[in-house]
Amino acid sequence: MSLVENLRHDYGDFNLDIPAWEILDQGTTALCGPSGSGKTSIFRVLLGLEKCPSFSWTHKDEDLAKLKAPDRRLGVVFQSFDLFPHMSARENILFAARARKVPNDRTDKRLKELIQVLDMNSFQDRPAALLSGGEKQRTALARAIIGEPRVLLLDEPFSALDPHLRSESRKWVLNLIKTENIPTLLVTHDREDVKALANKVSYIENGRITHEEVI
Amino acid sequence: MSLRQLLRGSLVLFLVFPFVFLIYQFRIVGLPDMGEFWWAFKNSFIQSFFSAVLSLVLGFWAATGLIGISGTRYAWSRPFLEILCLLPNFLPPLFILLSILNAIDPFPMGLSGIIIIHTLMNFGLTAILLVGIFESKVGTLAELAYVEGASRWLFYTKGLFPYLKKDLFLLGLFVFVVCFGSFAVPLIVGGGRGTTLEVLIYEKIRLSNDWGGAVLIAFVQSLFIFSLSLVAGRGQSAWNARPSNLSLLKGYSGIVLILGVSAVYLIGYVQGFIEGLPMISTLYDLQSALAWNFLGSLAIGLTTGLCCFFILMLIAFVSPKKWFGRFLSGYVAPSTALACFCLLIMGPNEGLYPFLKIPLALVLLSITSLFRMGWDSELQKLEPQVTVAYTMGASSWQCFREVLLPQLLTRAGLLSGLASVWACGDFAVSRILAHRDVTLAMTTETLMSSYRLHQAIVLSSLVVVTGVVCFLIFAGGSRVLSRKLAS
Repeated sequence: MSLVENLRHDYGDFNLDIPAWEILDQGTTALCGPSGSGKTSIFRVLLGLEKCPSFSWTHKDEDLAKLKAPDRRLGVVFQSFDLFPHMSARENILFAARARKVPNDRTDKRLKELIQVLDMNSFQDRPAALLSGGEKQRTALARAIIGEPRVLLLDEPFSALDPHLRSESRKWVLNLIKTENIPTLLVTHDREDVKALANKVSYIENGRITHEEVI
Repeated sequence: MSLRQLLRGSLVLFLVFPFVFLIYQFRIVGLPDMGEFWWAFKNSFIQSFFSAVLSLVLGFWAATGLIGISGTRYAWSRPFLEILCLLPNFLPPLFILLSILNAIDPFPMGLSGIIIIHTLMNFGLTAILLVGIFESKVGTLAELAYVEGASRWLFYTKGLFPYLKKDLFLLGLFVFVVCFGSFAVPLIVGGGRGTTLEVLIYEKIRLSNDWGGAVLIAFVQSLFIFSLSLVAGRGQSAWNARPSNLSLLKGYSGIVLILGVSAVYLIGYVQGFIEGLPMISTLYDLQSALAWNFLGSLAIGLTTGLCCFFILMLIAFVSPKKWFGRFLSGYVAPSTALACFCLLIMGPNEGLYPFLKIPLALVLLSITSLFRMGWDSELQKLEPQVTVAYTMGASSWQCFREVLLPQLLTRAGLLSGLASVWACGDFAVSRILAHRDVTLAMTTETLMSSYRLHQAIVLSSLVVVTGVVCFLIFAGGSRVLSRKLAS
């Protein structure tokens, strides 16, 4: 079980107030809500990019909240993907492997697997700046996964894509999550994302989780 | 304490050390002559105010020309016109001074002289910045007014100026602050009637040995500029770049203005050079000194550029950190005279020491400008990538080595090259820190001060050579390094 507790923070004009919230150990937990409801703030607190002294995040008997962002070992895909534009798709992925100090032989094996699962053969050596939206997303996913993270966090991962690409991309993501069997937190405002990917959905409004559904 | 924290602290200490050192060294026992202070303050304020207003007016005019030429069959000449606009701002003040003093004879020394030179140096840059604002912020507004059939006057008075008043104010403030802290120009063309705060600080130390008074004036000046910088720091808004029809902003007379003003100083320079060539034999007595001064200019240019490169990279390595970013944005370079005299009284000044102290002073004085000339925005642009790398668990060194360095090398090379060009053309800082002429720019200024203007212009062409060599070393070197890293 992955349990977030006491996630409370006063931003002045806005308060986060989440006494307890469970993220699934397996499958995808979606955090769904309108703009300004506090999704991104929660996302950043979980990643360790924003301070929230009161909160704890117990994941497999370890309090991740006590660790610094890099030590939490989380995989992340931001809304804008944020690939390193001067590197190729492959180099972007290898960067993450080096950052997590994954041994070389393991990296080679994982890279091959990910390239196959995400069908990246045709663009793996292309500079990130020249990739299409869908290709960027797949590269960002592979980059987030190769470091063998505890949890994969996705922040509106489809919003930067054209509508016709989204359903195909959802399939890629679902396939990857299933293949890798990695607990995933999906932050989104799009009900279609929830429908396609989520096993559990928590609805958020004004910084509070209003209700939850297990799908 | 981590290495990054230590380096961040050291960098802040380096930047504030002239202030700290002088507070420690000199006790302020009483108020300086207030009449003299207000007079210099008034001069500084007036020259900066009119330089800013005139730069804005001429800049706006020139900007209409740059917009006018886009989309025509002469659009290819726009980069050329932009270079002409930026040249007076990026070349050391020595060139503009020499060219204008030669072209406008007799030149009106005093406040009006300072205003003329400052306006000529800044209007082109203002024009380029205004074009950027017009093209990215008022596109839709201009198109709508054009389609609705609004007259140019109506669009300017009811649409453009009210909409952009904050941008225009901030741009004017930027020029004001630059002119308020200017030292070399008032020193040469200020004369007795145009003494500014910077020159007063210089005179207090050089002539009256009144360090306490100088420190106090420098603090008041820094505080004033700092408070203005705080105002200027606000009001950044999102820009939306989309090519638009800016017919209401086109004005071909702006091209005539750019070409006309450029012609004044370029022809002034060329004419002075041609007239000075026959007098070259009078420089023969200086020839052995000139060879050494050529090397001296190169040494100072290269050392300054290298130090700037190193400090810019250091800033990148220790960023992002909120308080550090705020410090750099609000930091005001110390008064030129004060920073130089501070270094002058630290340690010996003979032998090779001036070659260490001059670059150090130039780095202290120019690093803020370099930071604001695109380094800050470049770092901001890369911040999301650093955040991603950080969350992935990348170390600071991996972030810097693999993410920042390859993407920043070219810009760092250009900015360091620019700093080295300024250093090659510097005479004001060197004049305080060296007891004899050690660079070509100093010798040029010596000739200029002794009314041998044409010989000075001929000699200044060698300063151009040293500047170009230094610039090419940094700009080219960083490109080569960037490619090596990429391969």
